[in-house]
Parts: sequence; C-alpha cells; structure tokens
Amino acid sequence: MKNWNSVEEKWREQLQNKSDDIPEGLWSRIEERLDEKPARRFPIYWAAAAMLLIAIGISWNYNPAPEETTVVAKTEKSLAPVEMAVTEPSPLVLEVENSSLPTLKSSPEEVAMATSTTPEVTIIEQAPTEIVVASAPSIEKKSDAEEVIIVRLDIDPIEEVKPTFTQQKRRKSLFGKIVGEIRQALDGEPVNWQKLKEGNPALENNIHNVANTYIKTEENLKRTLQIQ
Amino acid sequence: MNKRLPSFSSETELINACRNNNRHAQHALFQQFAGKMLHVVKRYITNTSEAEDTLMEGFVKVFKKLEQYQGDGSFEGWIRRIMVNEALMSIRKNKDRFPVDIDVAFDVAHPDETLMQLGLQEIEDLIASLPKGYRTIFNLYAIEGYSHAEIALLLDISEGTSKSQLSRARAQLQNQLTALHR
Repeated sequence: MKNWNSVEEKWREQLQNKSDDIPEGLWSRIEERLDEKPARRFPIYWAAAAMLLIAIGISWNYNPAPEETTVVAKTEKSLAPVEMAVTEPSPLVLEVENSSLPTLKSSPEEVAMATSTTPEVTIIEQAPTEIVVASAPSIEKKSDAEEVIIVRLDIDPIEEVKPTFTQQKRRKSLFGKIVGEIRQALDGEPVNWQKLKEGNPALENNIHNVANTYIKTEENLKRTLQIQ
Repeated sequence: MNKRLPSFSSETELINACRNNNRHAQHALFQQFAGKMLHVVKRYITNTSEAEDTLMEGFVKVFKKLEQYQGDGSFEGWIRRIMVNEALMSIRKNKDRFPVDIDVAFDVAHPDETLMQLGLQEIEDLIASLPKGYRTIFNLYAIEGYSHAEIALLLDISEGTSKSQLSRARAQLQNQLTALHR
C-alpha cells in the first residue's frame, strides 16, 4: 500500500518543472523598478532605530536609584541673648547656669541665689508679676549653651542591580538584532522570531510590540518628512 | 539553458553579468526562470494579478540580492526560495492568517491508489481547492520539500501545528478525491 510520501514525491516531480506563460509587460515593470533610484531609507531607519533605542533605554533604565537616606535632626537651644518678658504668671524659671547673671534683677534673695557659684541648674522662684530679663554676653552663652544633637538614620537602600557594561553591551547587541530582524521581515525574508525570543525573557511577550513600534515610528517619520 | 542565453556561455557568467547590472543579462535570467516561478507563486496565490505582482517583487529582490548567492546549492533553488518567501509575505500583507496553533495530530489513512494516477492538471486543481492554510503548508512540505521545522520558522507556528495542518490537508485531499469519483 502506498503512503503519502510516495504520492507527494510523484506529485513533486510532476509539478517541479511546470511552467506558466510569462505575462506581457512584466519585464518592463521590473525594469522600471530596477531603474528607480534607491530611496533615502538609511537615515530614516537610523532615526527610527534611535528613537526606539531611546524608548527601550528609558523603559529599561527608569528605576530611580534609591539614594542613601540620611535624616539629620538638630535640636538647638536658644543661643542668642534673650530678653524674655514674662507676662503671665510663671512659677518657675529653669535656667542653665554656669556663669553669673549680673543683670538679673529681682529680689535680694533671688540675686543672692543667682550669684551663687554652684554651677548647677538653679530653680528660681519667681513672683507672678515679676519681669525676668535674662541677658548675658553672647560669647559666654555660645560656649556653653550650644547643643546639637545629630541623629543619623542610615536606611539600607533597596538594592538596585545596575546593568554592568557587559549587560548594556548585550542589550545594545540585542537591539541591533531586533532591528535587523525587522528589516529582514520588511524585506520579505523569513525571520526566526522564536530564536530571537529564546534566551531573552524580556522579549517573550512583547517582541511584536517592539517590532510594531519600530515600524510605526518609521512610517510616521516617512509621513512627516514625506520620504518614500 | 544556452538556447535561451546565446550571449552567456554559463550560468555563472550570467549571474556575474547580472551582478554588474547588465540589463541584457537580467532580462535573460528573467526569461529563463519567470515561467517556472510564476507557477510556483500561483500555487500559493490563486489570484493571477496578485501572483504576477508577487513574481515581479520576487525578481526585483533576486536582482538586488544576487550578491548574497554564494553558489551553494542550485541557483534555481535559490530563486525558488525567494519566490516562496515573497508569496508568503504577500499572503501576510493581505492579512490572511496562517493556521492557529492546534497541535492535534490527525490519523491519516493511507492514500487512495487513484492519487498516484492523477494527471498534472488534476493534481493542481486538487491542491488549489484546499483552504489557504492547508494549501500553504501542503505546498511547502510536499511540493517544495521544506521540513516541518523550516515551515514552523517561516510561518511563525509550532512544528506540531505544521504537522497537524499537513495531516488535515492530506485528509481533505483524500476526501475531495473520493467525492469526485463518486
């Protein structure tokens, strides 16, 4: 019993050398095409390719690099000579003291306490209606009152794996391949899309999107520049 | 061959002259292969006008890409592949879809003995009656001798799809022959 292969082989032999009549005028049409000057395609290709490269580059690389986050908090005490007018009853005035306050005007007891040499925090009782004016030479105040607390928070940055030079080169090489394949497809030659997708998982689902973007860009450029 | 190409002693000389843009040589090459290639194209594109346009595009490509022919394999085979590719491109441009992925293999019965007895015109009519998807794969595999792997690459389908479509094409050919002989 015959199998399909033998049938097809026989058919192939019969059909291989079959010839049709050549239509008239076809050669002159081909001649016209051969006489056409080559269109200015090269710059358009490269312009379209450059735009696509930029688009791909942006989409691949746009991942804002997390910077080292440092929070510096400063707390300072008031440094400058302060004239504080207490208008409301204030039972206590807390004052850092390491020097005498000669201008402190108050009751004799208070003056005595203020001029005491104990370099410690002194709690001064104060009459509600009294005006307390604290005034001291700025140099003295700066030397002891400045207190800066720096809080440094080092937050571990999200690890961004920046493409190495080799990876970038591979991407550019891949881009070149894609453009080459698209040009091949436009020229009517078979394109091995599957092979291009293999080993490039990023292209698995969007290879045709990339190709279509390229073609659309080229068409738009041609339309804009009115170039065939 | 030399009957048609009196001024070129060999195919190599003809090819070199074509590469140098010798219009006389290009015309001679066209005359030599156009009839056969039109027949090849028509097996894929049944519309005569479209087939002629495809043939023209194919020859323009042959002349422009002649530098790429390295002499491996027959020159006619090289031209034929360009024509087949051009025909497939033309089908794509017209937005005809190639078969979708259906990897179901069909059991095909052994072909009827009468298939071996068919004349040339009957074979052509039978193949032409196939739906475009089946016809394309049957032509590529059975007539042009492409492998399933090559067809899969050409049409961007899986090898399984190519195989199943071929099986369906064979089954349909068998059925049509049976119907004709009733």
